[in-house]
Amino acid sequence: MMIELKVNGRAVRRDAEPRTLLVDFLREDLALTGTKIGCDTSQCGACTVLLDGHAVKSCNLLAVQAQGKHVVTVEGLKDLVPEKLREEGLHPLQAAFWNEHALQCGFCTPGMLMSACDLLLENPDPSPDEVRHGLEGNLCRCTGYEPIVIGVRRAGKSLRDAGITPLGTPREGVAK
Amino acid sequence: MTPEEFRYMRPGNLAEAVAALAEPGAKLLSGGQSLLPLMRLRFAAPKALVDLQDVAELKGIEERGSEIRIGAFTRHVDVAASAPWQALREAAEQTGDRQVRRLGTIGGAVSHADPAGDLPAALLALGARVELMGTSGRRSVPLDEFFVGPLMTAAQEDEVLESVFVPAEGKDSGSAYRKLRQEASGFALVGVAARLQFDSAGTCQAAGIGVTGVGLAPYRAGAAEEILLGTLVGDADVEKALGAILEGVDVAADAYASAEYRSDMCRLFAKRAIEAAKSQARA
Repeated sequence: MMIELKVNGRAVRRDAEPRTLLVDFLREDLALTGTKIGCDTSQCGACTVLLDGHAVKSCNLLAVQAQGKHVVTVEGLKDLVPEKLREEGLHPLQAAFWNEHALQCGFCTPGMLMSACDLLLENPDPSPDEVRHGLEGNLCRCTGYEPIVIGVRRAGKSLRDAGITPLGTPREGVAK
Repeated sequence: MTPEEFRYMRPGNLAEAVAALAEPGAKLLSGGQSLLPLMRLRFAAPKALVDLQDVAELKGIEERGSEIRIGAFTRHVDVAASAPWQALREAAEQTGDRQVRRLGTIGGAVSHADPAGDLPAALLALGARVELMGTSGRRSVPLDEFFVGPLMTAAQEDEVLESVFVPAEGKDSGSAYRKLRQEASGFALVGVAARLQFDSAGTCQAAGIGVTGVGLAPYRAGAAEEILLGTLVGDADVEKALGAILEGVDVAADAYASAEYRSDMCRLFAKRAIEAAKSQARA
């Protein structure tokens, strides 16, 4: 059946079987391979994307369920924020992960970034424990969690200083 | 793995959803957070999926007389943020993880009837009921009669779970959900929800205790509730109630917990839930 949705700001129209998972639609049909498949049991979170601004597991959603919605993958993350607020062309979350070495093999990173996006949207200044709880749906098999927690908090500060949410929308009165 | 082939249907209202269930082998798709993993492992292979996301009648939380109606398609994040009763909000907040709570729904969680589901425990403690809409009309089922076994409910093949009803929060009432997580999966090794209501003299007028993770299905600990009724819910009353919480239950044993450990933890987390509900009611 015909599937129409928006991916990273662009309208997409493709024929796909109803049983096509969103993650396969993104990777196979649209060649957006930044979104990873890390398990077969919906537990690892490597396939996390934003669906209308909120983190969901794209392995646990049919492409057809996203009909008419806006999906943002890691490839579209930097475009959420205005160019002048990017650091070396990166979204503040990506820049913070880069600077804090918040990745080892990097396989969980796209999912971590998208979940962190949702977390910082909800809570612009999370404590380390709130970051751990907020990212409970994402596993890092390198077990490099500490720098991830630090990276997310650093990104939170950058976004607060810039007065924006991770989605690039204005945020007022959150600076601490 | 990709699920087996199915026909996809997306009804625009409740009547169309009920009609769509006439399709042979049809199953309802709500948030999909329990169903899709089963379909991907091919433990489930429905011939048709009826996606409920456009059915407006299934959404929202509102007052209905002395009850609060929660539409079946209300997501866990919205239950956690705006449902009545602390126990219900706590159970929603501890269901799955961030991504699962964004998509999963209360109706889906109740219909899936996971023996270790969090929301069923809270809803049982609150004395919730569900309304089902089928080809022969609407009917109401008390939740403790709705769960009939592991992943089995009293819903008929032509019925859509439409709403969950919980009583409005009264004065001098309190509720809480306490859970021992299985660390890797986050599922409840044991979860207990308690609801207490007192009169002006501090006597317990209503008590509800819902337990999950312990038996073949979430259950309401009626014998323990009876013991608390009419008491001040003092330490001795609570101890006596805890002694009855596993009455008639075949306690599960698995790789994560022996029956003995699970029983001990059930009593411990029940105690914590009862105490939290009591202090909330007295506050």
